Amino acid sequence: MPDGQQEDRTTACLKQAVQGDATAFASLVAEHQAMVFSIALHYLQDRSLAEDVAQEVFLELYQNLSTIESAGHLTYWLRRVAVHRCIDQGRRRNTRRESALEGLPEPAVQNAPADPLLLGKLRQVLEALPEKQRMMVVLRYQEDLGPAEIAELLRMPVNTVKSTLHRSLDDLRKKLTRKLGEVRYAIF
Amino acid sequence: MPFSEDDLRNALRRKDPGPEFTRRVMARISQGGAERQAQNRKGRFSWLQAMWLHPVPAFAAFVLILLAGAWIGYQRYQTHQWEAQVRKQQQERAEQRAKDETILALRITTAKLNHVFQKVNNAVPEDANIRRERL
Repeated sequence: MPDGQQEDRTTACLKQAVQGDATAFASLVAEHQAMVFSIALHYLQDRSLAEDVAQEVFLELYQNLSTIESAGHLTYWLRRVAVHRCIDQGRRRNTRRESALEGLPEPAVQNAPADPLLLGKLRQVLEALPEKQRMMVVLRYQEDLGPAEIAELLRMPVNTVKSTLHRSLDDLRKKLTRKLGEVRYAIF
Repeated sequence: MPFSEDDLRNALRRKDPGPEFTRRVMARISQGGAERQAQNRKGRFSWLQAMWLHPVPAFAAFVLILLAGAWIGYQRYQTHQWEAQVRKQQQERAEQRAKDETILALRITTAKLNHVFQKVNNAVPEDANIRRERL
């Protein structure tokens, strides 16, 4: 469906949902659940926690529905609330595993990219990034947001976002190298 | 380890939580709404129930509230009347004082003018006598 039509449909659903139409609200949830759930899943790396966070985000949306002005505002609002709820949840859980990866050995040979193993490992090493870096990578590569949009969501300067993203990719490369090196040593 | 941005996009592709997710969200919303309605109904019922079960104390409380309201209203009315009376008296006193002061000022002015006229009348013949002597 073209973006314009989709946006019109979302705006119509939004109006109906504000007037108390539960079906319209359900279709808003269905439309945006993949975005909210994936932000939580990729950030928290825990399916049940991610589902809890996503449900909380939609419950909060239901309570604040009258403040949403348009389809674009709805997407922005959901992203912003999802990001902050995930960061809160991550802090509570405190399961950063960065330190566990620090002691891993360096690899002898580099692997070929873009295979299922690589994608799985990428998701794993992402969890080892510090919280802000992890959220920036998720927003940049899951949601395809630009540095300015990420800066607005995380309330940070754009240049900080740019440099942090650059550093995050370097960190991911280093950590992935160590991780795959460990697998290689385990196999041979 | 070389990986492209597309690899990262593939790894972080959106995942749908499934159709059951929407149903669970809607269930939580309706559950929350039902709980709120039940709480409201319970609150209203307990109040009405108390009134119904104990009519005499309820009526006594109603009469007491009514009397207290009437007494407070009467007190306020009296205070208002007394303040108005005091204001009126103060205004009357101020007016009387202003009137007395004006009359006094007019009397003083009259006396001063009389004195000046007398001085002027007495002075003219003396000057004429002096001029006559010099000649």
